Amino acid sequence: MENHKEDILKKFLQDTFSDYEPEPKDTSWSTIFSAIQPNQPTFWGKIKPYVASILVVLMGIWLCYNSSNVEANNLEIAFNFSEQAGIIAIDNVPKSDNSQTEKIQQHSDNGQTEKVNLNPWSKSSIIKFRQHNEEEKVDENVQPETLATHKLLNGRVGTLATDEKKELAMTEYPKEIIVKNATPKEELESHPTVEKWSDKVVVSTDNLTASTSERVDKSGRLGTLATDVKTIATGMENSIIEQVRYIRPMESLRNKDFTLTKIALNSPMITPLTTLNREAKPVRQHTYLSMSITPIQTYRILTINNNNVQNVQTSKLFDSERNGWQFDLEMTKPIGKLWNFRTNLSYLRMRQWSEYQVSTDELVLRNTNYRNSNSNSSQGASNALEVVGQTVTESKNLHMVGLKMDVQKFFKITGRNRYFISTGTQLMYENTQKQSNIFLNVSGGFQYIVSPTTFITIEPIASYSLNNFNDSRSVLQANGYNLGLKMGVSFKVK
Amino acid sequence: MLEKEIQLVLACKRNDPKAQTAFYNLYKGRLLGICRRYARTEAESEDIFQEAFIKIFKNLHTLEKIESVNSWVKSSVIRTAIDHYRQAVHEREQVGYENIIETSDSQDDNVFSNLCRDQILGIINTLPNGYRMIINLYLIDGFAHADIAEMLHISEGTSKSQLSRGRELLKKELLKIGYEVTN
Repeated sequence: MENHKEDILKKFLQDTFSDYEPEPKDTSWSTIFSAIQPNQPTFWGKIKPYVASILVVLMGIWLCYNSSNVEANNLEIAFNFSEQAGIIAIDNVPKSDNSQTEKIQQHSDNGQTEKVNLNPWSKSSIIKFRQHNEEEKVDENVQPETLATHKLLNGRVGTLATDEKKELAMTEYPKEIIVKNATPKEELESHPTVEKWSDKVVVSTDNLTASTSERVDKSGRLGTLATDVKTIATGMENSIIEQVRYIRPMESLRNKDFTLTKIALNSPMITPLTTLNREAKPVRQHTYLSMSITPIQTYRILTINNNNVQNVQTSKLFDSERNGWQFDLEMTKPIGKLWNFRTNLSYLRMRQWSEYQVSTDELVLRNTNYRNSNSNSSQGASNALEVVGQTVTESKNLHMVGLKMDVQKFFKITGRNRYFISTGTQLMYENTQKQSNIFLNVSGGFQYIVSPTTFITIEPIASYSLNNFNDSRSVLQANGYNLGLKMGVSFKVK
Repeated sequence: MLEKEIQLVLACKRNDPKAQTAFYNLYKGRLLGICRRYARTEAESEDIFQEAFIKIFKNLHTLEKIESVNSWVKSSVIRTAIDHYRQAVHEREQVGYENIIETSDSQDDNVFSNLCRDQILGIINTLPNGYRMIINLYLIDGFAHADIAEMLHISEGTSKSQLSRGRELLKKELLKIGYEVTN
């Protein structure tokens, strides 16, 4: 006996899980695949190089585009050579847009100024300038830095004392970094065409030095090879060029207006593998077949082919003389987690009973005595002609077949009980009178699960005949509303 | 067994990525179903599922009888689930059995489709670890007590007694949600 019980439980569980095939997460396969094929690039691995290339190209385009803007803000150095080597000032002047463009300007006696741009992106910032005056005589025994310091210390720019200027310069540019020429000077000196080298140094109040290397070739022509810009204060490390070259791009990157173009990646469509012709199992949506009966019916649909109906005697809602039942064969199909679609074929048999009066050809003169209520003495009589009516009682059995469709929504599920509401329409056809009736149905109820394949339903139902909206005089439609109690049992069929 | 499936297994043995993808698509549903039964949570079942598939692909070359690939993959998944159970047994035992009621009441699936099975699965998932393993192995996957004893490193007597207690507990919980599995 024990084994028999055990077998039932075993069979029950095995049946329950025999076709249980849930769907794994989408990311599961990529995880497994990357573990079993570490050298095989995944989809993202395949497109990653392309994405990186596109990003690099876009970044390059962006940088090229912005470098032209940066060039406009390059270090702007104005040189003006006076006839006498004298006071030279190089100003670090930020532009109005606060782009920290340094402007080196030499003030001279004649006031001539020439501006030279430094490109911060080139490895060697070569400042081209044209000399308008005679070449400055440089004492070869004096080192450029010493000369520059000397010029700085003897400068008369502004009102600051020399020590103060030096201190200020050391504060701003504490280190010395010299921008190297592209070609070493020693190599150029050994060149057969170069006869003489000379270095020029211009010094600013903030210790910025612009030095120019020039050569005089054997034919006597003067040429400019390169210009260095450097700071000369002791311990200086950062020059303006360094700032321009390295800091400015970072400034650009920090700019709030800096945005990268968003790349739209369209994933290619991957066709599913069809190596095997194994059918994909659909999500299980069981279909249930129900049989139900509605023993109480209250509506009255009675056709009276008589235009002389004077009045209809209304009857009670529940009348023992007028009753019937309806049988439904219903199919239930889930359409959502908590929604079902139900359709059914129904047969209704109902005994209809009605009493009404029709007019006849007979007339009757009715004499009525009356007394005035306001005055006890006032009495009189009146004659009235009345049509003699005839009371007619009709009774017949109504047979209708119908098709019903509705949707069912579960709003509470507790243990075995499922509570629901539903609404739908029903078309019912009465063959004798060739009469079609359309009903609007509303119902609510609960289901009780007896077993995994069976449940019973108790469903109070209310319906209203939409035929009441027509003006037909030949159809008697008292009690167009209907109340019923539907009881059914359902079985899983699929 | 279909010729195509045999060819598929052979291609997987050759480490063919396309064949491996097809093999995964072929077995993913039923193997994840097994994992869901043996695991306590969905996240745990996903872990077992991935681990089992990696083992299957890495050990597929050891499969001699290709015709028995179905039972071989199923056995691999079950053994992976048991390994997983052994590793985390101490943590799992902290979880109480009282969650059954909450689990069964929180089901919102369609009453006519997955609700019944999910309810039963919820009960199995919340059974104590030992009971859950034995019930899965014996009642659903059809292993004998000798095999279970070997797999779980327990005696046959322990397997039988745990099955008996687990079965009673399962029936009791099934009865609570409307399944009376007795004559």
